[in-house]
Amino acid sequence: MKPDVKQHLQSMAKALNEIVLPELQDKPFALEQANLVVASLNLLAEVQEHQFAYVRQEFDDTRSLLAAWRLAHPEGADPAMQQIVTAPQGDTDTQGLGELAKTVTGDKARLRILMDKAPLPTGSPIEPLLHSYIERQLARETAWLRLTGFIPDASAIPAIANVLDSQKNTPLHTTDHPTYPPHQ
Amino acid sequence: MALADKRYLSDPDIDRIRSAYRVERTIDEALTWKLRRRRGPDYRLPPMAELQARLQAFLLRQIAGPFDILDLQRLSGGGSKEMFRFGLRRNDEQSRPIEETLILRMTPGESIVETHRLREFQIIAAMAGVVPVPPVLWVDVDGTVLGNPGMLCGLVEGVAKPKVAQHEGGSISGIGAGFPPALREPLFEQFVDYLASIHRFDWRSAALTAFDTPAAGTTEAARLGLEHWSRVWEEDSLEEHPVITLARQWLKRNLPVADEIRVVHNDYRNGNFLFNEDTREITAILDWELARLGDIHEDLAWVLFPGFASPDEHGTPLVCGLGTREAFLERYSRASGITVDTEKLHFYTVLNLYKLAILGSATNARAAADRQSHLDVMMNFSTGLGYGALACLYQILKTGGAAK
Repeated sequence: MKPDVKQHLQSMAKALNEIVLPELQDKPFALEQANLVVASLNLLAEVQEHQFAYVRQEFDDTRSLLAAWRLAHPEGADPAMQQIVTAPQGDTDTQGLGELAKTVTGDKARLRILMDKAPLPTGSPIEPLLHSYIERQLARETAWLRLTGFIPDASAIPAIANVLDSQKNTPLHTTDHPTYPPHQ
Repeated sequence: MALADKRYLSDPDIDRIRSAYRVERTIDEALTWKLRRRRGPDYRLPPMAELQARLQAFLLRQIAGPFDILDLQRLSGGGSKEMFRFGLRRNDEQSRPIEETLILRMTPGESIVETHRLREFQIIAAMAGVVPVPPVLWVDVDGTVLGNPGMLCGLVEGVAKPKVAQHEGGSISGIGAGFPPALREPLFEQFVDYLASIHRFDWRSAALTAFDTPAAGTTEAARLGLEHWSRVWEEDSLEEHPVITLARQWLKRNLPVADEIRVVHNDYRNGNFLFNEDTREITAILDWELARLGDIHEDLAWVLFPGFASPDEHGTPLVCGLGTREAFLERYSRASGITVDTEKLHFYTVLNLYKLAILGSATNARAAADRQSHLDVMMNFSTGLGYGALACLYQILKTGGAAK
């Protein structure tokens, strides 16, 4: 067998488009929902195979940022925070998607605590790293959702596969970091 | 790190959230109701026979004498509330038979935004005669009879988008819808003048008991807005986002004083008014559910949001697809007599994007994740709106917001 989720998704979208939608022209509510299902299937066909790589990249970026933050400002890290950034990361390739996603959600909650409770001093090297982190996250999000029709200038946004490839090849700590005006 | 399961927040967790954010009374009521209801089963669309029976029971309490409900139908669109249309046949005060078409607007399990039906009912009733609005008839505030909170109003003829659009906007919400040149000028003038009428309205004599009044000359109006959306983020987000954190910090540091407290529509844009394509007249201003008493700059920043704009034949971006930014501000100032403050406009641009980002990336996603919406596919799909807003919000914070 050659497992191919994308093929199934594309076949469903085709059947809906060519067979089901024409039968719904006088049923506006059902037609609207069916059109949304088709659009969702097309989006999934582009992104679904990259879900694990997406979450893995979120994990790598977030851990990288948290570790750098602790090294630069150890006084600002709470005990729980110190525990997680010093804990061995283990072989994340063997973690299931759900487990890894849960870890990322927990790490992002810690990042919020740090941002709220341990404001960065002026000139901190973490400030530009944080903004690189944000820009990489936004690049992933807008690429993932570029087919929704809600993302500005979506035609200029690369596919999620390309964004993830590029980010994997240039880890967060190796990127050039943008400048950002100081907080006031 | 233990994270709360937001589908099943305990009563102490809900109390903690309620005490952490100061919001208006009825907004607190609506949000708290949402959290308690979320703990129940997945939402299911009401079967039409069941809904008809509930509607019958509700109307029995409102109408003296016999009546018939005709052809109850679910309407498309309505990402926020479930919408139904039906005919009501009854006798008027002189016992003459009349038939009218009514709209039933009901709160689903959850959707893109949680709002309070009494607020919506009261503000639309108050605006009758000030700007064109649908006639509101009855409201079931807590859903005791209808099953969920709901409101009935009359049908207003008109379309939200021209049959031949100048620019294809979002099909779901009318966002970004453009207008052909012949419609543009007359609609633009009415669009601006009605906004000015809303802002000039003397609300103090109106029956707006569901609304709290922030104090003029203080930052209370801005703070209530910030706390409202921050609470929604806390209740609905699937995970934290650093742009939301940065924005919240910036907003907290930059709360502006509201010189005067006025009615704010809070979703005034293309897609949220009906018009007659032949007479070129706006027939109704819709979607009042987010209205509040606050600072008019919140409305102005919303209207001016580039995401609602669409280009004319020469590529010039038009505010809500209708007129240039300069023309909008000039006409608005003349019609309202209000001087626009650019610093406040900037604050509310950030607050509005914060709100849009939260509704789109958190509330939408939460409704679908917990299977609480009447339109889960739409809720998933329109998370694009939220993440697009997050990207815009970050650009504003990065290029100017943080330096102000």
